[in-house]
Amino acid sequence: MRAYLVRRFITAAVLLWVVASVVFFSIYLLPGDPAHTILGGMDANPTPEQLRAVRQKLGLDRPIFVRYLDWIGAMGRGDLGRSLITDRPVASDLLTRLMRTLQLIVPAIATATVVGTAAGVFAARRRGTIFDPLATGSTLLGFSVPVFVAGPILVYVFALWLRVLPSGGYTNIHESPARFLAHVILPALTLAAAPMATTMRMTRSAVLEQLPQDYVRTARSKGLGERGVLGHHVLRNAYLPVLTILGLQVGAMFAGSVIVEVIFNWPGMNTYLLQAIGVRDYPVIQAVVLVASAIFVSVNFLTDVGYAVLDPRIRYG
Amino acid sequence: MPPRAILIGIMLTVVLLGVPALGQSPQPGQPAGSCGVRGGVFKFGLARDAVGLDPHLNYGVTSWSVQGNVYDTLLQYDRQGNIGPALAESWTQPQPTRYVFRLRRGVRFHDGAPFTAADVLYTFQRIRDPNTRAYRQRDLDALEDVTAPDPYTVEVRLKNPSATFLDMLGRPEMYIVSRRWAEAGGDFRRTAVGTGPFRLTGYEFGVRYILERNPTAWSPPCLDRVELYPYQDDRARVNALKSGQVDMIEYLPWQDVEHFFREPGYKVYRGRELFNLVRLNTTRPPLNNPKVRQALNFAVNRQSVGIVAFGGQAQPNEGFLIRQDSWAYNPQTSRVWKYDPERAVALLREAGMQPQDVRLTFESTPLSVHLDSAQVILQQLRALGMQVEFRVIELAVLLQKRANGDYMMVMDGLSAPWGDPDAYYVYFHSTGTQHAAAVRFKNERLDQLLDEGRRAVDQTRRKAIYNDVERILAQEAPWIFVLWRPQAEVGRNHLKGYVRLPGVLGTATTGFFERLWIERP
Amino acid sequence: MLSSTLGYATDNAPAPVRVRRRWWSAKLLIPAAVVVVVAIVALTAPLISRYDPDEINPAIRAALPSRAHPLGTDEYGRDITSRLAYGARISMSVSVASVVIALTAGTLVGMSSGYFGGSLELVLMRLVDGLLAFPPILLALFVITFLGPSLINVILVIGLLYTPRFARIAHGATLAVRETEYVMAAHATGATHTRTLRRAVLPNIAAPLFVQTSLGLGQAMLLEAGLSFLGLGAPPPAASWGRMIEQSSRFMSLSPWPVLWPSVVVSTTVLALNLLGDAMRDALDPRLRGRT
Repeated sequence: MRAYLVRRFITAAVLLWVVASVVFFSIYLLPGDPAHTILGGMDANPTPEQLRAVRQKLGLDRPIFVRYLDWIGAMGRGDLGRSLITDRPVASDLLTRLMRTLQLIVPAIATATVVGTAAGVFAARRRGTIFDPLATGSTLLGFSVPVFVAGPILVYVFALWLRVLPSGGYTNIHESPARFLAHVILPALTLAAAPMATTMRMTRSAVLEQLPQDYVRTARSKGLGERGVLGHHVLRNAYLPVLTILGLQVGAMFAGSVIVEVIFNWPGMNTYLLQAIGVRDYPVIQAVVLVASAIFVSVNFLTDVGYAVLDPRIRYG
Repeated sequence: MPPRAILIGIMLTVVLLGVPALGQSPQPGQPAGSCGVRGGVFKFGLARDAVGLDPHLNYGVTSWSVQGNVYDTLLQYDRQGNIGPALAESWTQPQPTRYVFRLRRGVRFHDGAPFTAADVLYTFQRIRDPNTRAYRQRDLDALEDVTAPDPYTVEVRLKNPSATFLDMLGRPEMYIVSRRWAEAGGDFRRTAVGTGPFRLTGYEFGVRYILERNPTAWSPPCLDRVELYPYQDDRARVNALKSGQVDMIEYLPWQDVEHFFREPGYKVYRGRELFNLVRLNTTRPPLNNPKVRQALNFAVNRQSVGIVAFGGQAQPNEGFLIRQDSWAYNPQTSRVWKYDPERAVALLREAGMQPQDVRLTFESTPLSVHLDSAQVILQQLRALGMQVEFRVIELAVLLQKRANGDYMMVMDGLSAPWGDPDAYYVYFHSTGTQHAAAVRFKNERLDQLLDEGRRAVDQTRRKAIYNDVERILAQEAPWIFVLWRPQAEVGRNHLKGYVRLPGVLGTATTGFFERLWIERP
Repeated sequence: MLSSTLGYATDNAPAPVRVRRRWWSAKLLIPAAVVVVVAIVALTAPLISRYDPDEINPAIRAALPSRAHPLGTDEYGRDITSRLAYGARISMSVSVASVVIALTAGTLVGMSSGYFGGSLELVLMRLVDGLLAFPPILLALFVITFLGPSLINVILVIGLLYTPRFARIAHGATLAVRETEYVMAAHATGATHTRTLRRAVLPNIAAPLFVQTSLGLGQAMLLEAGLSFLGLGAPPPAASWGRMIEQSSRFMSLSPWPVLWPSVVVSTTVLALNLLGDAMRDALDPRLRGRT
């Protein structure tokens, strides 16, 4: 078991390094560089000397392998560099932005899990009645409607028509938890729609799988109420596969969060990256990709660990 | 003396005394607009993050909302778009190349340090320092010498006379900074200490900027506080206004202009100071033949582009940069293009080609202010039979192509630096870096005229010069000038005092929040 | 190993397929019908559209539905019905093409690594893991920034993004099937590897792959729409549904209808594809039979 885990860990680490390096080299191959933005962007009129001077100052004229080694060294020290455009240290900005994205993802996952599970159990128990396909259908809708359609609809209803929630933006949670909540509700809901459907489906089928089993009948015959049967036995067994899917959903959520951050003007890690790519802010791009991949890889790794723990077949595979 | 003679004599004297002599400071400008109501908080939605705070670097219009309100320039534009006093109370021009500025007394920086001539000298020095990478570094090469005979006087000597020197002093990126603060290690990128009507008291990068009233400013504002919120996505920004999260936004998309015009409770402020153009690479065949370039100009239906790409809110540009309201406007030279496909084909034939023989590559960024126009133009050129390949490129790539000239035809949008026709120099003088030099465009007679126009002072003479410039441009047709595009802000009705600066200065209006006040119902 | 890395639930171990008599049902037929209709519209778009989808007509901007224009016109006066039909073409061809790429490449990779094992399996599956390690939108962003936005590049990117999922499924399924008598018998009778793969392995791993295909089509459509929304999709005039939504959403102040129609159409099509995949899975998996 331990050997397996160690192997997986090393694989994950190597993977991360490969991904980060590929990205490192490829972004320098992109046409365009930050010098233009630094010297004024759209309104700029820089001389060739000014451009050269800026590139030199940023170290962009050095050979790429030298820069690569420097970067490796810096990563080893934990130094993520400074933004070429704003000169702000990347590490602190990245952390702030990552926190903000997590402030979106965590509530979304929580909502998806809680509501999805409840809906799944509900549908499983009401199988055969109209509620089952109704619940199934409505969550499936959440899975099929694109994020950038659902989001603006929610904005229209709650922010523009009923005017009970803001249409976008962000408030620091330390500054005003109430306002933070107001800002996070709509984007988190939008983000939660798809995983809610998945969770619901998984829970439903897992519960359905458990219900006819012997131990359930035994528990029932022992006199345990429906609640007890469900809560103590069925759910516990049914939930294992759902839990592992959860890990995957976190990773997948990073994808949906890009569009949500754009629509709701949520200044998270995704918009940080989008802007950085637009102006070719190399240190920021490299740092964000590294961190995002690290998160992804870790989540996959943890999920695999979870699976290994549960399924003995895999441990020795 | 006969009474009539006396009367005439008096009138003449009055007239002669009233006319400002050459170079004397103009009459004091109009009062800045009294505050109807003192106090209040104003929330403004920006189109981009303010990126950086350095007052001598150009981060685009959005940053002016911060920089313009925290810093001051020596001179500033009044509501009519004329240059007038700011930190410099008055000035004289004893010789064409010599200016003497008298500085305002009693002004203090936000940290308490008094404003003196030493700060002005330091500012110029900083801008000219290559390490600063200041936007106006090259412009200040025109300075011969800057001295401060006393703490409230600054004397500037130019190498050559310049018709636009005073205009330049009123531009953003010429903000006056505190020498004492800078030398004590002040960080221009992360903090802002100026003499302006507001203080930057806090910001959360990417989220919010807070400007608070500076009660001891020489031009104190009406509002108590301004909060700036960046909203990158157009729709998010408009929604923020509609849902009441902000009181006003900039960069209102034209699609929403009609809506807000009709909607009670809002006021739209609109100007047309940015223009769209297609850059032509004059070294790449067939564009190396001026007749082909002229043909392209006649092949474009500018009205159509304006209707489709900007809902009819754009102003077709059938000339160059001198508009009808300018003193330099001459209907014969300033307006030459029209939609004339037959003429286009005839010109091509003169160049020895049929439309089908014309092979072009046309690029544009995906920004809708570029792409929409490009699409229509593409359609029109193809309708004539030309073979045009179309490519979408990123903004960063556009910036690079401007500098290295690696394009054939590319859609672009610019804002003229000032209303003076000297703007032609920046774009068409062969040393005008990335505009002309990048594609090695050079017309010697044009260069000569542009140099002359820069140095001449007499308006009649200058008008003649620039009309000649336009005649040459009509022959050379180095660009396809397409249209002046709409630029709008929209705010709640209770916001008063926002008056867009006229002409090309419009976008600088957000640097003057001291003139705003909020009406209480 | 995880066999389902999509955000949609499938079981771990695929079961060998024994075709049953009544595998069709309303659950399967209705979504299938929707998908077929969309496909037909996509194929016959030029025939059934009354107008040129790119024909700009500012005079009739944002017109409400009428006899001349059944769904009205958009912000440039273009007929929405015709645009939806042509949009179906683009959206469908992008999703089909990219899923075909992902299916082919993924099956090849997964099947061969599962069948041959050894270092081939090690290398290939690590590559697959590598691709999966990359947050999908970031990868799409990168590649499109590199190659420039165009229809082909979008297809390539989405195909690339989904290959690992198919590879994983094919791999897991092949592993399970490899040890069955069926396959071992085929090999024992002297069939070459290729033959064995083609005749014995492939048919038996087809079922989960089909399910994944249907789900993948829906996902690919959403991803393409999402990329268009971010401005990374195929540029105009190639108007996929996603781009229609993106463009028309700028004109909501003018009229909400040009946004609603493509939104409804996309959602319905993706829903149908998801339901279809669902129903196929139910039909093909004996363990759940009798549960529907």
